[in-house]
Amino acid sequence: MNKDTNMETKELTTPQAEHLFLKRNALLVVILSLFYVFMAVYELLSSVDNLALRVGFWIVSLFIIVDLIWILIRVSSLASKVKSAFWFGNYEDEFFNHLNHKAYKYSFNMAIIASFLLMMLSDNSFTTPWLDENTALIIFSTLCLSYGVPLLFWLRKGNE
Amino acid sequence: MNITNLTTPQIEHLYLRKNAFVMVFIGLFFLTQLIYDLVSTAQSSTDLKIGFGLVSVFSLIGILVYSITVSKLARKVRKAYWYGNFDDEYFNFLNHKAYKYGFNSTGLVAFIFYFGPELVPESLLTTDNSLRVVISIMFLSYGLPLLFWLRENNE
Repeated sequence: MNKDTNMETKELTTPQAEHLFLKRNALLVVILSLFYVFMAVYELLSSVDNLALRVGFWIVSLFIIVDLIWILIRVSSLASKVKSAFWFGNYEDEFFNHLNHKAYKYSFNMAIIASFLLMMLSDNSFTTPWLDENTALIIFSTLCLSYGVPLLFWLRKGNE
Repeated sequence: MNITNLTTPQIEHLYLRKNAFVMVFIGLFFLTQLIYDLVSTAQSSTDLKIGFGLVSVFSLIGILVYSITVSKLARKVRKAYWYGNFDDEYFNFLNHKAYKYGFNSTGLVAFIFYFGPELVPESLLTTDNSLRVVISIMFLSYGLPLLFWLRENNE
């Protein structure tokens, strides 16, 4: 599997490799945050005594984990090709650099909005016990989702 | 200050810098408030508490003063104010780079907080306190690098 992806990336030019890397990285980030969101929701629902619901959640989480590992391998196979993008987030191709930084901006702003909203919510006695454990998780997944989803949208196939 | 004679890059430079100051003051405000609360639960009244209270008030004044100057400049640089897109390429680059720093440090802090009591002191783990930590780290890591890059002898 890894060998194939290496073979496949060997003939790519730098912008092509960066395009692939950015896309896979965005997918990785989105799936990572989905994984965390699922864990939080599962915890919230664990008080509900419904076997089908739990099994459903387990299957989806398992699927997400497999996906996560698969994409992690794909991203790391590209990382040696695009070292400065992998370590410092600086892309040689101007357009991808612009998109990457724009996504950072989106996610920074979304995280600010999310944290101020949560701050207002935190006075509510109904949400507090669950929220106490999952605040960091919510911020983290907001960051990840609002970084990855715009990138995936901009890099979709029909948008070239 | 008379800004009518300034060129767009000069105004953008001023705006970016003042905005970074606002961000740093917001970060300081949340951080000192948090420390103030933590100190006052530990001890009823100390010099430390008064010091942090003063810094908190000082940063609130800083937020107000700089927000007024920023909003004055905002009319001249609407695109930068509303969308964060600067006409000058260099300031655009710096602004976006600062966002990257903010994103990475916030991600790191949120990830550390996710592990809960194993890595983070219990007193920080309530919603309110962890949000204050995240917000202050977010704003400081956006503002401080910008202030460092835009310092006067770095031109």
